[in-house]
Amino acid sequence: MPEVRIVNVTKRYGRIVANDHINLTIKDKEYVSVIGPSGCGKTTLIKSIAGIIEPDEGEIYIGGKLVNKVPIEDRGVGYVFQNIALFPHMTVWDNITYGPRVKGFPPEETEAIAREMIEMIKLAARTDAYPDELSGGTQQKTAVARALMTRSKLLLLDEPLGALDLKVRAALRYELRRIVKDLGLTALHVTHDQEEAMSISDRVVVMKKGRIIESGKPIELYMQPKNIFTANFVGEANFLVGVIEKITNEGSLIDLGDGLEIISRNKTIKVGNRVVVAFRPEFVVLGKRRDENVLSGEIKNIVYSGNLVRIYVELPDGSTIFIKKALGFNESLPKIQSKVTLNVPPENVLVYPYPERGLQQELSLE
Amino acid sequence: MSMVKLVNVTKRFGKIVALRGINLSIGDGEYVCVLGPTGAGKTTLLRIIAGLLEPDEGEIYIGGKKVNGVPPERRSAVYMFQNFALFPHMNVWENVSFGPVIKEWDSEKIRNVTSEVLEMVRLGERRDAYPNELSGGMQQRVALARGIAAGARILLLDEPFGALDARLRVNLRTQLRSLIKDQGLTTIHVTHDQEEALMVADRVVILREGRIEQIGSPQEIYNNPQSIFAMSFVGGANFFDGVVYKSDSSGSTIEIRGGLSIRVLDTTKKIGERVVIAIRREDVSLGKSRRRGFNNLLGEVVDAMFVGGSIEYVVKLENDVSVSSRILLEGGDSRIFRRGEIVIVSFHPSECRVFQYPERGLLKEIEAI
Repeated sequence: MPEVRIVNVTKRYGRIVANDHINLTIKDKEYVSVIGPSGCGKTTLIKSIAGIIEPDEGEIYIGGKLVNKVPIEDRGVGYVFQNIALFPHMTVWDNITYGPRVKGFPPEETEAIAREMIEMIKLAARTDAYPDELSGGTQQKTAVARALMTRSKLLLLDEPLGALDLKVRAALRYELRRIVKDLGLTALHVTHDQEEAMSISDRVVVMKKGRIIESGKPIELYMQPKNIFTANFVGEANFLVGVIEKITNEGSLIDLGDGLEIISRNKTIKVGNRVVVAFRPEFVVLGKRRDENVLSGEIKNIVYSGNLVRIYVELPDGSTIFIKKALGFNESLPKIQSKVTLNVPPENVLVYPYPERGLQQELSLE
Repeated sequence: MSMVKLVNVTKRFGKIVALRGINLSIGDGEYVCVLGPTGAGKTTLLRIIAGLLEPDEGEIYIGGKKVNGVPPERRSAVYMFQNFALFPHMNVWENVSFGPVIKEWDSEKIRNVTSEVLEMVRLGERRDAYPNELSGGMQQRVALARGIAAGARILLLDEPFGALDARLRVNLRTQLRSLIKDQGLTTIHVTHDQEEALMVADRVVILREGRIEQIGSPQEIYNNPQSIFAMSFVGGANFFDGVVYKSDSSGSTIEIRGGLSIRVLDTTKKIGERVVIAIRREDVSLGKSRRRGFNNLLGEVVDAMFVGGSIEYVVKLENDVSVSSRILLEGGDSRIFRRGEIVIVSFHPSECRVFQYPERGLLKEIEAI
């Protein structure tokens, strides 16, 4: 039962606080991903759990046991990192069984576990191959098999797909999730790829400047992020600034200036307060579907990216918002410079208090 | 006039042929992305244009002049940057003025050019900062400024966003493109990120095993892939192995595994011919009722993955074949299907592409891992 509990963990490097009083519990058999801009402390966190880094303060429990002073090899964790580190002169089989062999474990048992892992990770056809005969994806799968030879139930994945091609990465992430779920493992996965985290995890943790700012199910983080940074970090969004004008049964009416108004179902912020309004580009409907939140504007640009298009629309006040749209069967697009009507569903309009340090600072990804 | 031209360029490394008879002509001010899997020859192509490698065969022209044998520093219009590669011990100003200083321009000209270029990339106020004090995006702008100050007309970008956060990459690539376009520079940008290529390029080149697989505008590449590989590599798709069993003037009917038949508009294949049908994931819709004029197949949702704004479904059909469908949550109110739900999978005959069954087998053309 490898529940992981991190209590008040702090790690400093000189004046920089890499982890600032982190509290996080990963439940048994849960798949948790950690995302955040570079330098947010996500790598420090996973290395502290692995035992590579010792925190300055706080406790780390694995399966209920305090492990702060326990060396890495005795923590019972499987650790896979970005740089695929197989022994080049050994076959897949020898790489996988290396650890138990040097530790002098009974060979029959080692072989049995190795066969099980190879089966599970679908490497049976390649056990005699050397690393340089394998694709990057297969090498990384071998590294996962090797990490699991300790029969560890906790798998720590530190940018495991980072060195691979995009397409390989997309295919391998589902494989990783399947392996973790089929073996009933608990997994903590650090990545710089939001989409990877969203598609693979039960829960995603967002870090910024050494702190956890939010965590939740992928769809919750995407649809109802609790703060502006998350809204921007987990996917693209439009951000507009306004003031709460009044609150009615339908929700909050927000004055965006220059005669523009927008309704949000969120009613948590008082009248008169300055706010930031956010909505995802794919939730904006081109055309008039209902009477609420009808905006009009002029198409300034259309950017194509394969399966979808981004349409940039200038509103009467001069601000620009964008829409993401999938092209349906036989559907054609309006032209640049044409006037269009937009509909923003009030359920999908997020509202946040205007940040003290300013909006741009809050949206900064660096 | 073409700014960069490659005629029959071949490059070998021992027994490995990295580039095989490449012909490519890039116009002045054009932004070209080179896309391909690891080992396709993308970086070799850039290094040959930069002059860091000499081809074994073929000619390279820059601005109409043959440059085979001309060393990199004398192909002065060409600038290659990778991982920003700034001098860490020099501040922004010193980094950007490096080229002009080396060229021994007079000091006033160096000053003018450097400050002009720094304004252009909006870094005038950070001229005294050192690279490690700047964000990744700023470092990249400094690198670009340094190239422009050195007189570059042609930029060679090798995975310029490789090391950056995925979300940040989305912002930076549009910024970089507009900066480059404002300067009218010719750009060759190597990437393995298909979305990046489709968003920034005027033209996309797909490389595979040292050959050009397809070349065209992003729309052409995506909407009219000329091969199974191109379709699989850019955008991906569902691929079904089948045999044509009926064909008339309005289309063909193809039988796939388990006796299911799929109607397509294509009429170019003969009855009895083995083919591959390809359907983009976003062209596959899921619903509770049959759609008129569409292929409608019954199946069970076996997986539903949320991928930020879209849901990717895997549906198992009666014949045990899996179909993927990607549905953008447009308008925020799309119906979401759950695992185990029985659905009707629909796609229109006009959205089914039909390819000849590949000699080397289907898997070889589409495998990723």
